[in-house]
Amino acid sequence: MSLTIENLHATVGGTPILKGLNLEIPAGEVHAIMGPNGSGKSTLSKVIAGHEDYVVTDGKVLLDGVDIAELEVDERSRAGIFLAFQYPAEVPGVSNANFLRAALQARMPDGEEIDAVAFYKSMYAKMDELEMDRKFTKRAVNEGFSGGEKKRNEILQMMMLDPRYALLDETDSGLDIDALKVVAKGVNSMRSPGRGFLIITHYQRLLDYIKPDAVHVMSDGQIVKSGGAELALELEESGYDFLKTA
Amino acid sequence: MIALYSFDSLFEMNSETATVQQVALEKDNIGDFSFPENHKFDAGTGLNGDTLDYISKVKDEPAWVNEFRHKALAVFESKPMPTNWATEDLNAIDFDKIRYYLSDGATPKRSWDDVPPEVLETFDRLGVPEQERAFLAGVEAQYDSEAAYSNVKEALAEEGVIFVTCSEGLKEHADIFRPWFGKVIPVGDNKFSALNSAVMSGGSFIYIPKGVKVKHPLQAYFRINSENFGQFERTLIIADEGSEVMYMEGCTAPKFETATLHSAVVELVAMKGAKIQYITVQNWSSNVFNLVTKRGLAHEDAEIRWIDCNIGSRLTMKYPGVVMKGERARGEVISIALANDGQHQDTGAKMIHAANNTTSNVISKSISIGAGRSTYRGQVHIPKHLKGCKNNTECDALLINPKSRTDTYPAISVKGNQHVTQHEASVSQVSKEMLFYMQQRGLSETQAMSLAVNGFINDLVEEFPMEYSVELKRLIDLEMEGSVG
Amino acid sequence: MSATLTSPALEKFEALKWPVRTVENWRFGAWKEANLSGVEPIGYGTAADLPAEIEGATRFVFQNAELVSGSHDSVTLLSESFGPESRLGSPKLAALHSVQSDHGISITASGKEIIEIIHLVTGEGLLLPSLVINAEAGAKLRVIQRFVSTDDAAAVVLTAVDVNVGEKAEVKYLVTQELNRASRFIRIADSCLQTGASAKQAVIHTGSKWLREETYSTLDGSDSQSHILSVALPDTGQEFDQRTFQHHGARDTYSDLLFKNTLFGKGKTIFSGLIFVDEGAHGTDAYQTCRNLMMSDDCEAHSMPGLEINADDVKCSHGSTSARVSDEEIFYLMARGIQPKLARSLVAQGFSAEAVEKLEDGTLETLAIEVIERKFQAVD
Repeated sequence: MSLTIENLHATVGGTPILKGLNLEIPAGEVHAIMGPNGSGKSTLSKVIAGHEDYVVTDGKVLLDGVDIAELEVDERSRAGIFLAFQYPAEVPGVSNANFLRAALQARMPDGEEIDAVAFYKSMYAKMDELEMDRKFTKRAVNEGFSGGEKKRNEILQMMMLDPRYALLDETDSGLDIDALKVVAKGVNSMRSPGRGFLIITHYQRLLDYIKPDAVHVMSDGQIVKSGGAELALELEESGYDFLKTA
Repeated sequence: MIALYSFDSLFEMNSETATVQQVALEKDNIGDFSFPENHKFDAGTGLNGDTLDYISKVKDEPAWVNEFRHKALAVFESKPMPTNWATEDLNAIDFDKIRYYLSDGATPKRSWDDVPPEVLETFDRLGVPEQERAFLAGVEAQYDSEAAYSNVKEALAEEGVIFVTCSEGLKEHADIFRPWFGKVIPVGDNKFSALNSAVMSGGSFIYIPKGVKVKHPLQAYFRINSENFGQFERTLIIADEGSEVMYMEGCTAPKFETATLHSAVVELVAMKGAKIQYITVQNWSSNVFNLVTKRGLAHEDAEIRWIDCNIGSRLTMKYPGVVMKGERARGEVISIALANDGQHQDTGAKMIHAANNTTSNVISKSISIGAGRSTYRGQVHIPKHLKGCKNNTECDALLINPKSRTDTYPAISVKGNQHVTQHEASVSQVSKEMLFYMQQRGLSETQAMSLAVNGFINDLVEEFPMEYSVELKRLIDLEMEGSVG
Repeated sequence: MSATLTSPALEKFEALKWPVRTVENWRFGAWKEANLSGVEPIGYGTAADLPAEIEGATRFVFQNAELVSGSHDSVTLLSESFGPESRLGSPKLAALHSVQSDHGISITASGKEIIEIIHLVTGEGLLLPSLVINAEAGAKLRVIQRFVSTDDAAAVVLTAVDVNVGEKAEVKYLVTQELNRASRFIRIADSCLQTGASAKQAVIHTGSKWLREETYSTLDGSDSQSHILSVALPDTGQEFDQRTFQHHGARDTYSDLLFKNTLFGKGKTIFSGLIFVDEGAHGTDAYQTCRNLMMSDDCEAHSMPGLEINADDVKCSHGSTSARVSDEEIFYLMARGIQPKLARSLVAQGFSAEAVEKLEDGTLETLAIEVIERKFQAVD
């Protein structure tokens, strides 16, 4: 079982961004992708999630062996893909609680309903783990949230939606060390044999708290180097210059 | 139609969760059913002096009322259709083809047991008797031209609250109602207030004595059952000093082929320190022309709030207004409009400041779906030599589809430097990024749109009593279906 | 009077009616002032002291209908009207201009130019200047047009301007109007922007007893941008009636209208503005703001901002406010030793400056501020 990306080519606005990317994230593992700005890291997460602005021109994405090309954004979500956004959108007038309920309800078989009591119990427990004030349940999704609060909200949603493969798009950007630790705690609590993680990050700091099983370097739309966790430390010390000579 | 919804306050759920539930399976307008016509009294088709006399006779009206009608008819005939500023769709109304009066008699029943079976069944299907039992203080149910049922709870009647039909009000309580009748909205105010004044029938006359604060809402329900019919109810609510009342109005009609006209006049008078809240959820079928004149007169320290939701009808033209006549009076209009294919919601507010330190507030949110069109028309008037008046107006329009349309036409007139006014309007669509975010959480495009639209109007929906807000959201979800993809 | 156009123009004029109260576009307006029947053509003009020259600009001076100085390669003289169209309620006035206008200039520029036009107005009667601005592809054109009275006679200036901004061209156009307090001023302005074009148009109104200005701006080419700015400072006996129309007829266009009115004494302003977005003009970003600063208890402001939106992928908003100078601002200035009256004046000038600053041009801004300051000094 894995999330496999084979020779993926994708364009946005006619410009090619992914140029033959190959990657395999087995269930149970945490993989990190690092790379300079403009390498296409964010694009990769949006393509996997199925954003309509991004056009796949070649290659495929397989979720546990199934090609997801024909699936819509929400179908991919219900199939088990979760994207923690780098810039989460605000949804005015819709409370966090109701939003999560709607998302969970969308996964229930026809005619069945979420048990309200269980839902709230589960949500509060996870909020406590993430040190989130319970009053956030009533606030509109991400409206007026600080950067740190938005990122924590993404992790809360991930924990509630129980995905098979979670893509974290620069989740650490804008977080102070305490928020980072809390977020890492949330992610680590969800590590399990049935679940894979793809962590897209610019800085290696997050990887001190979420130890990856593999680290990949992305440059100009492709994976150019792969290694173990030490690779991240090397990059931190020497930067991405080696790419120019690679 | 209006369902009870129980709250789980322990876990702080709120009525918003109702939107999450599966959209109602029935696609049709819940009010789309009708019964064969069976009227004892029928004024025929078309309008002239004889029609008025017929109506007066059936109602056994005093002479002054009949004279009032005739003067109004002359005014109606002399005024042109206001198509120099309003939509030309008005020209589709053929006054000669409308039937102006159909009823079983002018006396409403005080018990549902006495109401004719098909009328009872109509209101049963719409949930009215059940509501009344559960939480209303009084109900009037109008079926075509007359109220079939009208009752106010004993306790209130003992306190001196009067809640009767327009005919009863003018006959039996002329001393209370006649002084104010036609004063807030004079006959000549516009072509349709003149029409209403000529053929008015049905509607509520309510008087709340000094200091009485009515805790539960009074409700009226208007139902059109006949084709080619015009409904012209007339409502007058007088809240005496220090009193408070909330009045709720719901309206539906079956879907007929031919155009139907609903032209109502609502006058509110809030005496010193009184408070009136008037709530309307309008869901007429798509062949109805809904042209309503609503205005309130607020005296010193009084407050009048119009809370208005327009979802149905082919064309609605309605500009609730408040004339703030006494110092520190307050006027407010809260409006939600939804226009779908073939619909034009032309609504707004009129705030006339006529005393110092008065405040007016208008919040209007509209949603245009398919090729629907929503229009806001506003007027704020603050004349010279007043001090300390404030107006705040906010109108936001949400466009859902490429052919959806919206217009905004406010007019703000201020004299002098003692006031503050602020008007802001915006037009936008549901952001793509927001939709992508919601879909990535597993919501289908339709579900995401629905949630976004509910979020857009959420603040305003909370102004409606709980029972209405749930139903409102359900109606909006129904309208949203099919708008996406 | 010049040679008339062919008789269809005159027939058209005669068939039209003067504005009346019930026309929507004249709501709150002084429609009687627009009735020019019986107004005779103006006579000869006279010289007067001219303001300081603007560096780099070519100056044209008109004494009434006569050009007394100025010439430039990109400029041709006009001896008749270009035939303006009024879509905001004054077709008869536009037709009158078509029949009787006998002077003006037409600028066709393809490079970088600054042109200044001064209209010196003398005596009673009707004066009808024309201005045509054609900025060809890639041009960077600045135009300053000034209206000044040399005496106190009641003139009627009926001026029309046609601005065409070609592909990727840029036009900055400033009009200052300082006529005497007996005169009337009517201006019909039409502009059309092509792909990638940019236009910033500003008007500063301090003179005349009554003015009617109709500004129609069309964004015809995608990615074009139109800024429409106004500073109006009416005093007792002055009524300024401005109607605008921002027409978005192409994709990804941007318009921003900012009108700042400061009303003194019994001064009166009427603002009506419509943002109109065509079907298919997706990606439109359109804004409209009208702010009224009420300086006395007798002034009167009417605002009618409007929107007519026929495309869904747009962002449009409008706003209108009216208030007096805020007490906090006055207090702050007084706490620095400035007297209340001067404090009020400083705040009000700052208020007007915001509209001027959007021109983003030092020369034009300086000129505009001078005109504004003159008015502030003249007010009580």
